[in-house]
Amino acid sequence: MHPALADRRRLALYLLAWLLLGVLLAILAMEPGRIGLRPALVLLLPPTLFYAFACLAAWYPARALPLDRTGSSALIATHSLAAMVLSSVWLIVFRLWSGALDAYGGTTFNTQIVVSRTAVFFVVGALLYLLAVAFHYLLIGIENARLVEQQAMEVRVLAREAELKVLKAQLDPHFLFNALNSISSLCGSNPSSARTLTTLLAEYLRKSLRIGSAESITLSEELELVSSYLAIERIRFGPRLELEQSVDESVRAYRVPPLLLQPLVENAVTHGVAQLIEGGTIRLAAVREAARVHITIENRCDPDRPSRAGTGIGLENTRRRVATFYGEGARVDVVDEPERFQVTLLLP
Amino acid sequence: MITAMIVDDEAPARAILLEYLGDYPQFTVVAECANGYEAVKAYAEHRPDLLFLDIQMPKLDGFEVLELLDGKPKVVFVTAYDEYAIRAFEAHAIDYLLKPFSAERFREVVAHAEETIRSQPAMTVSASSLVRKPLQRIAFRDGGAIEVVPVQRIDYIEACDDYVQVAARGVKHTKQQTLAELEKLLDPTRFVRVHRSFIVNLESLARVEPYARDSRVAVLRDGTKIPVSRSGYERLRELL
Repeated sequence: MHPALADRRRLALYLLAWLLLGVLLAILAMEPGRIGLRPALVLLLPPTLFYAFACLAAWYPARALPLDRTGSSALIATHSLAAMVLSSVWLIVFRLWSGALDAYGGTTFNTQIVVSRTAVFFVVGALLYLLAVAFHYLLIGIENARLVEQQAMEVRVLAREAELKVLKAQLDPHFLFNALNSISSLCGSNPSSARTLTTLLAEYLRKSLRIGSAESITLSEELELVSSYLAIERIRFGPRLELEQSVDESVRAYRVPPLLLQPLVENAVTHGVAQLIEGGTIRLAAVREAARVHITIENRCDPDRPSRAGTGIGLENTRRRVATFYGEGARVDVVDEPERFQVTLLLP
Repeated sequence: MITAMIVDDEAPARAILLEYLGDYPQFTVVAECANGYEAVKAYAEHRPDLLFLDIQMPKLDGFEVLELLDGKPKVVFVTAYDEYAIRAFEAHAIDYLLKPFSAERFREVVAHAEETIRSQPAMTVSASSLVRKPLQRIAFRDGGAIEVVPVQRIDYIEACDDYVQVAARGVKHTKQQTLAELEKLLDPTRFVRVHRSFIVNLESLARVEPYARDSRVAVLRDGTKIPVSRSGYERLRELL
C-alpha cells in the first residue's frame, strides 16, 4: 500500500501542498489586463491536482531504487526519464483541459497560454515530479527508521528473553540436583573429587551469571562455559560421555551472543548421549571457512528416540537469536539422522 | 535378611545408595545395574526383595523395567524429578528418594521398606498403570531377551485371546495384555481401533477398500490387509 494513501492526514497534507503549488502557478500565469486570477485558477488547478495524483506513482521507482543501494547514474537516468514521461502526460492533460475550457466558454486564451508556455510547463512538471520523488524518499526514510527502531526493540526483547531462559536453564533443577547428588556421593567415596565437582559447579554458575547479562561475548568465553558444564556431566555419566573439541585459534575472539551454544550442548547431552546405554561422543568444532565461521555440535543419538517437540522449540529459539544478532547473512543447519544429530551455525 | 538391587545409569548415584545401605546389615545388595536391560536380567537371576530404581534411564526407563519384571518386588524410586512422585505412588512404590537425599531421609525410607517387606512379602503392581501416556515404546520379553519397539514402527496390533500380537516392520512380537488395555495407552490420534481385534497405525495405512457389501478392508503400506468394522470405519473417517 502506498504510504501517502494509507494515511488520510498525510494525503491531505500532500494535496494541500499541491493546491498551493497550483495557486502559485496560476498567479504566474496571470497577465495583467488580459487574464485575471479566476480564469487562471480554473485553468491551472484541475490539471495540477491531477498531476498530484500522477506524482504519487513516484513511490514505485523510489521503492525499487533505494538511495543507499543504487548507483547515482541509474538513479538520475530512471527519475529523469520518469520525469519527462510524466511531465508530457501532464502537458497533454493540460492541453486537453484548456481545449475543453475554450470550447465550453468560446474563448481561445486558455489554449494560447498552454501552447505559448509549453516549454516552461514541461520543465515545471518535470521539477515537480522530482520534488515528489524527494518527498517519497523522505517517506521511505521515515518508514525505514521506524522499522530499524522496531527491529532494535525486538533484538532487545529477544536478548532479554534469552537471558531469562539462561537464568532458568542454569537453575535447571534437574541438572543441579543431579550434580548435587554426585557431590553427595563423592563426599563418601572420593572427597577430593567431591571438592573438584563443587568448584566446577560454582565456576559454571558464576560464569553463566556473568556472561548471561552481556550483550555479546567471545567464542572462547562461551566454550569455557560449555566445558564447565560438560566436565560436571562427565562426572555423572563417566565414560559414557566423550567430548571431542576442535576450535581454530583464529575464531576464539569471534563475538557471539551469550549462551548461544550452551543450550545446544545441553540438548546433545540430555536428548542424545544420555539416552544411549553405551553413551557416545559429542563433537564440537569451530572453524573459519571462506568469510564465515562454522560452529558445529554433533552427537550420537538413539535411532528409536521418540520425536521430541522440545528440541524443536529450542532450535527455533537459536535460529531467532542468530537471525537477530547477525542479520540475514547467518544460517542454522540441522542434520537429523537416525543415529546422528548435528547443528551447524554458519555465521558471518 | 533382605536382598536389594540398585538400578541407576549414573555411577555416583549407585555409589551413594551402596554406601548408605552399608549401614544397614540386614540389607544385602545382590546386584548393581547401570541400565534397564541389566536390571531385568539381574532381577530374574537374584529375585531381590527390594529395588532402588532410577526413573530416567536410556532405552528402558524405571517404569518400563517394572513392567518387564516377572515378579512384583518392592520398589523405591530414586530420582531428581519430583514430578514423578505421583506416578511413583500410582506404581505402588513403597517410597521415593529425591536426589540428593540425606542419610536421615534414607533411614526413613529403609525403615519403611523393611516394615513393608516383613509384613507383606508379596504385593501386586498393575503394570500397565505405570506407563506414561501416550505410550512412546513397548517393551517385550522373548525368553531371556528384551525387545523395545518404538510405537512409530508399529504397523498394526492384533488381539489373540488374552495377549496381543504387535506387528512392526514385518516382525511380530507378543505380549500378555489385552487390546483394550493397550488401546488406552496409545496415542488416539495415531492408533485407531478399526476392528474388535485390530488396532492400526495411521502412518502405515495405505488405503481403505470396500470388501464385500457393507464391509471394508484396510490395506497397509506393506500390503497387509486388515478387516475394518463399521464402527472402525467411522473412527477412521473422523481422523482422516
